[in-house]
Amino acid sequence: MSKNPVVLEITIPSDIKLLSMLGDLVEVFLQKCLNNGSDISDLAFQMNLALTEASSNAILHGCKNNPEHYVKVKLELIDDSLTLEVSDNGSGFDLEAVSTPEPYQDKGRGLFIIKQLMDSVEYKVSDEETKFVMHKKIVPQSKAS
Amino acid sequence: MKMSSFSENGTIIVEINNIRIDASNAQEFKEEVFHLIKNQDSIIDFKNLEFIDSSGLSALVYLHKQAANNNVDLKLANLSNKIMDIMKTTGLTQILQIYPDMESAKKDM
Repeated sequence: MSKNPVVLEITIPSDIKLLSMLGDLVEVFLQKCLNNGSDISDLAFQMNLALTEASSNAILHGCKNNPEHYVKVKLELIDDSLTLEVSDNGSGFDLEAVSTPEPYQDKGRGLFIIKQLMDSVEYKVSDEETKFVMHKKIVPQSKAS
Repeated sequence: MKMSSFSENGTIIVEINNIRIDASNAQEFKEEVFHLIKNQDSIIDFKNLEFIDSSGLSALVYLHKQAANNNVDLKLANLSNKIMDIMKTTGLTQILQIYPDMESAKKDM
């Protein structure tokens, strides 16, 4: 039987100093929602990283770190399907063509990392906002010792 | 950025005390570490670090390139398994000098 979804939404000014809060938020969200004795520390780290990368992209590239713009983050867990959404009302993400990064390149690893960690990603643009949506199927882990 | 440093047998040891390096502090991390190590052999001890994002990884690549240009060693020690996983994924284990602990990093100076 399907459980009711758990949804958490937060809207923040586009300020890079708030970035770590978003990362911490998804870790707490998962720890509380998946409170079944499983060891979720790897999953929590990975989702922290994916959300951090998407959020910093929205804050720095989409909104140019301008606190007059906002960034919205939505975390949604339905059964074993986790969705992370990052929306902003700035000029949009810098969604570069993603290829495997060269070790010596100066930057451009963020979206590659997201794609490695998530099952799928979508990019939606409307007149009001741009939205980056990431999906992950939660695979049960071994019980924590 | 919280860090401390000292010199040991001609090597600068930098201990990072932040638990997180991300886009909010990666630039500060890069500049402060570069200021500390300049053109000397050095080891960065990451035993307290729990999280790093692509901005932090880019800072490490920058520091590695500066060290190579100056013909000095820059070694990284005590990275957690989770951080090592992301370094492997991005190919950085191929270029950075990474050691499991300070002892092995010092032995190889």
